[in-house]
Amino acid sequence: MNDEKIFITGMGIISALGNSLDETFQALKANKINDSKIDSFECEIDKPVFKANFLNKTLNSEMRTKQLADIAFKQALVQAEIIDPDKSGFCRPDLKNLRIGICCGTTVASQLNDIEFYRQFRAGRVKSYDAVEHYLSGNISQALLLEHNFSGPGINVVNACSSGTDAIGVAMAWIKKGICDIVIAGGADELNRVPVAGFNSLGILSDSVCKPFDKNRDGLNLGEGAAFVVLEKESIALARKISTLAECCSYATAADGYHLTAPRPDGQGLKTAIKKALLNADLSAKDIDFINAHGTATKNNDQVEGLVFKNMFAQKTEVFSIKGYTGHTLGAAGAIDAVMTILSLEKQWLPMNAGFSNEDPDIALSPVTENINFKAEYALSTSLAFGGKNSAVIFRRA
Amino acid sequence: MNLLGKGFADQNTKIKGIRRADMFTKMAVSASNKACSGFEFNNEAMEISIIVATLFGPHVTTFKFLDNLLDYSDSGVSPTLFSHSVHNAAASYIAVSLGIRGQSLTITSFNDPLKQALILADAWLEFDQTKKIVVCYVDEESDPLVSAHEHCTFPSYAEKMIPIGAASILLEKGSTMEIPESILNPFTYIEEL
Repeated sequence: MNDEKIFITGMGIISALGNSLDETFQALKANKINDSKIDSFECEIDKPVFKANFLNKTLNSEMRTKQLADIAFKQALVQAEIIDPDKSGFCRPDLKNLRIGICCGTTVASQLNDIEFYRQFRAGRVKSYDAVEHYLSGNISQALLLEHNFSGPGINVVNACSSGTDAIGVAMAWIKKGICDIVIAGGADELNRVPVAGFNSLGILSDSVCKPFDKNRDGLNLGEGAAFVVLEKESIALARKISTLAECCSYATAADGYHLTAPRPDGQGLKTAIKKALLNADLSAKDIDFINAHGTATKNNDQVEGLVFKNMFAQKTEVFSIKGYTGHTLGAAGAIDAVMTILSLEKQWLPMNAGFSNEDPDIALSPVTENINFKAEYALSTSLAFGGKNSAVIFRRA
Repeated sequence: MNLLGKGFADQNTKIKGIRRADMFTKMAVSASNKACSGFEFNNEAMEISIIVATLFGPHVTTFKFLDNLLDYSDSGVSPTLFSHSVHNAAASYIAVSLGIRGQSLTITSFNDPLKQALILADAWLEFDQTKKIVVCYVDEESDPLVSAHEHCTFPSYAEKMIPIGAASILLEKGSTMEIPESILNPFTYIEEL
């Protein structure tokens, strides 16, 4: 096992907050809430969503998820000086001998759910198999490996809403195992009719902008976006003399073994994941200065997370959820959380938890209620998912 | 790694607690239960992990969900179909069925997903993140995907077979099992272990 530290040397992000790190930070500083109506596909469900606003005509034939991934991925590679911004997407010649892998979390891009293709197939009149080609080429990690000529490996994590966090965990395992020198890990997901209808059928979409941890929270809003971080072995980062943004200290995950869609009410799975992440980083709960919670604003999620945080962490530990600004971006959520966590450590700053105004007496925990400057060295980011998945990743300020 | 057990899906087996699950999940649970036959995880549930590897996931259920959308409208779809169309439903059912509460991961790759799962399993065992691990390969067949497979050109998937079924292995830390360079057929590979 490789005991070298792992550093973050590049980040990229796109969401309803903006199309770059700077736009994201500026929008958060201004507490902008860019919710909108569903208008990128036909859908009879009228619920607020968080849509990324971008135009990428050259990639119009690709899946929207892949287009989102491309934007965030390129930003991360440029910041980490793996590609030159003005040249093709290929790896810089001096890095060609490095083993570079890609791990991406997603939900929508993992399914062949093109409704028009399927309508034609049912009718026995398939006009074009382009949708299938897009699906296959939209296997994000493998497509990005091909496009950038990286050595690999490349896999997609399909752990539902914790996929982005789990992709970072896979990246850490590859580096520690000596399979890769550098891994670009993250997640991407688009707003799509299938999850909109699916989450609506589960009765967990809110009619208004979501209110993470609030007493009157009544469900989540779906969003879209992508985020990637470049994880790099310490010796490689030192040799490249590249600036480090944060240390990626540890990752852990635990299954509830309880229910397909509901978290274990006692939060034992989440507690286990957090305890293991702390243990792996040789830290205790008191070392954690803030928690970037999954905080989807569903009754169940926020109750379980809130109670676990209240039970495990000191009152001084700040809690924040970004979902009031981005919506729930599913497979991208954990990666967007990771970028937001690192950004907060770098800036020593946290935005207010959008949507929160009334403390829930059943949780007795208030997230950040105004934009604050603070001193933080370690931060924890948590993700919960369908299937009873709980994941935790810890970052340290560089 | 050391091999502790292996099992293949039996589609006719009735397994308690998975009545509502789709065939993709039933195959994965059946294979995993067989691989873990004779092992009791009650006292070490937190130390047992799962990795499910698949090319395409539960697409039969995805297409049933699309049937719902087309036949009954956006607001008339089944929540059960939606939750079972999520790729990691199978891992969740395996965890519930075997009482596993350690690490859990579902991965897709069109390039050797079982090998990628084994690499991760080996890493988790080596780093003492888990004591034992169930690795399951599962894929299923559907008319739309078979048709798509025959017509697509992206990078020559048409020349590849889609292995259908489920097979699981139970592993622990050790040195008796090597990860091969590539696994052409997951079922043949596991059969020969």
